[in-house]
Amino acid sequence: MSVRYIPVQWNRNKWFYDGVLLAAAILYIALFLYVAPPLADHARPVDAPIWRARAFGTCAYLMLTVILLIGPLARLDSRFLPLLYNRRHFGVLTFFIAIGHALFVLDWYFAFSRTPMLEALLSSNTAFGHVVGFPFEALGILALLVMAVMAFTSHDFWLSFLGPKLWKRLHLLVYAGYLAATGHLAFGAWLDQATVGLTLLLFGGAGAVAVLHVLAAVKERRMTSTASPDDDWVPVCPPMEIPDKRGRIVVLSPDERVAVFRNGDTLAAVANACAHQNGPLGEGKIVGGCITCPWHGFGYRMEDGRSPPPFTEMIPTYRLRLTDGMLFIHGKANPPGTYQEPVRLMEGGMT
Amino acid sequence: MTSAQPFFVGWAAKIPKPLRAFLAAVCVIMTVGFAGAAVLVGATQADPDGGRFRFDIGPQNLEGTVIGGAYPALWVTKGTEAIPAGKVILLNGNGKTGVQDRVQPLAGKAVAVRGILMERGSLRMLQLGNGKQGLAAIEGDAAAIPQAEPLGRWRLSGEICDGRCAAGAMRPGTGLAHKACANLCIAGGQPPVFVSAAPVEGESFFLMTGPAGEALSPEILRHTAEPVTLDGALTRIGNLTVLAVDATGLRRR
Amino acid sequence: MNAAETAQFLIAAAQLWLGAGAVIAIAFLLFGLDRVEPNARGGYVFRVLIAPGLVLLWPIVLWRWRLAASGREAWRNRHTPQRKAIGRLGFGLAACIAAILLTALMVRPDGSTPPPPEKLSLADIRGWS
Repeated sequence: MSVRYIPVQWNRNKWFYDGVLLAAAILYIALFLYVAPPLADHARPVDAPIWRARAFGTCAYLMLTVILLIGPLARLDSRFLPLLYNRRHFGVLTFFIAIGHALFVLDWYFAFSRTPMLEALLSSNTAFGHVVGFPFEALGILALLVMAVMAFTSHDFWLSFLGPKLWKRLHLLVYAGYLAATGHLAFGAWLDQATVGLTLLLFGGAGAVAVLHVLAAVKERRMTSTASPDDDWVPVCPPMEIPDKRGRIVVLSPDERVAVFRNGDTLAAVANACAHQNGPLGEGKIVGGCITCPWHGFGYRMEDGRSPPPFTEMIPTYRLRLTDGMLFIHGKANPPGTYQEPVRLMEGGMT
Repeated sequence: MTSAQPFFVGWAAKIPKPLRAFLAAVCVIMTVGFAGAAVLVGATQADPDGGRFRFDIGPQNLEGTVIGGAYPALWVTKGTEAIPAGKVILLNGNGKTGVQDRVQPLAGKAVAVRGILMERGSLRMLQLGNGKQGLAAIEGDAAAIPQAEPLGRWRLSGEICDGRCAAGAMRPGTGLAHKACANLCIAGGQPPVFVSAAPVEGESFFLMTGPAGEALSPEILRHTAEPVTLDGALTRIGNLTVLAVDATGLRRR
Repeated sequence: MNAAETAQFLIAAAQLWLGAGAVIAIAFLLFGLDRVEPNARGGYVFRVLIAPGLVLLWPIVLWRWRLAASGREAWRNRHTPQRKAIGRLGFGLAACIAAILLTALMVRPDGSTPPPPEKLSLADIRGWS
């Protein structure tokens, strides 16, 4: 919610988040490089560049796995939402660690040859028809490319420039990237040596991602449509069913949801999608008089869907009406930032 | 959702109290989890069980007769303690480039070579030094190379590797993760070696050639690093066993 | 086209792509950004951060640049996330993960002892000399 773009908008929570992130990644690589070798107790050591490549590669895979766990965890239990808050930094750090892995590999397996490095990488193994012996490097390149696109478009400028919908689509590529990374690990390192550690990392990590995504998708499915998307009035609920300072999500169509909020005796309806990343506003809270997004804390005034100055974000508003103790919403959205007189409750919850 | 449920706002200075303990626990689990994963994944890596460069015994100065072919070797007539006279040793070049260009013109001739020994069990190679110091023709008649002794046709199971990495240029220098590197080495002229799952007449490492002693065909090279079974003729030249194969009998296991 | 030629072609294509991207990125940073993005005015350091994305995704940049400059984008587009599709993607992801892991398990060398060397015949052996 910048007024003017700066490279990175840090705040206390983000510093803390990044601190923990960096600590975990550095700890992983340091332990892998310096504590694991004596424990492994090999007669002759694995080549140092290969050991480093393995440290960075497995670290990046673990981080990517955790990144993919955050989304469904937050959907299943809102206490995980703070992990989502700064997930983009998590992704960027993972990208850099994956780059480290790629460089160690490139400068070892594909070096020392008359063939230029990149050409060697792309041409050495072309047995695409084999499952055992598959050129798993190609899957790694694909995963790295996806991570690059995501890391490069992580600045808020991109959200605004591409629009949240296209941005989200682009960032859903992470699924393809994760599948590629999983294949890269499975048909490369794991088929080569199915050690206890790699087996747990691969099957435990990817398995957890799969299971949690199914659970979250099942939960999401239960939110079925309550109305057909037309211009008519759609019943919501009796107003007092909405907890104070909280919202209720009304599903107008599979892709159009409205958040109806109650602030004491005032009720208003806005689009459920935050202007920033399309976060679910209806799962947010009224903080300081503004509807506040649970993802990144963007705020909007109830009556006109505008962020308070100096911010400039806007979301559509909806008409509300109270009839016989029942709240109704009109299915046609007002353009973003349109003033809409809120519904006020009289004593006893009636107009 | 109720009014009382804690709500996290990222830019706000304060995290709601009930969330704080939860997030602290997440931080601890994440850090400990990463540490545990590092040790577990790192310490359980397979022993590379590979060869090594024998830098410890210094460069080896040898004399002998060049045995030409797709992948040249040396019949040693004047050796060292580590590589005594009467042995055949494979020659290879620096990095992923073979020595055919340098060695082939001297096939059948007497030469002096200097290089570093690489060894993994009975698989031994000499990495030639650069220039004249590494390889030079010498005066005098070349000693006759030993008679090739046919050992018959065999069906063998094992792995097609690049001999140089398998012998110790890389650790691990075999296996599926090393496949692209193996292909690059062999394409560069380094000798391909078949690592048999079980020995034949005491030997498990065989230099691989095409059916007529030529370089291996790309068809066979598609199967490097994979567990394969193949048919080929074994021939012994001194202590070196050569496996001549064509792609027809090759299958993946 | 053999493997080496294919690789060279891919590398040349990537270089061309990034070269075009660099030109478009510079043009956008100089002439487009301030016009299409009010929040960018007066901010300069962040431009370094967005430059790699501009280079990599230049066709999208051109498209959005045109759209933003013409002001023709429908506002509804920004407020209707594809929630249903995202839900389905969750199932798809899980299915693909399962497929990868099962395939890997099935093709994994089973660790059994391979058949011992078998002498076939004393057929004619063409020598290696």
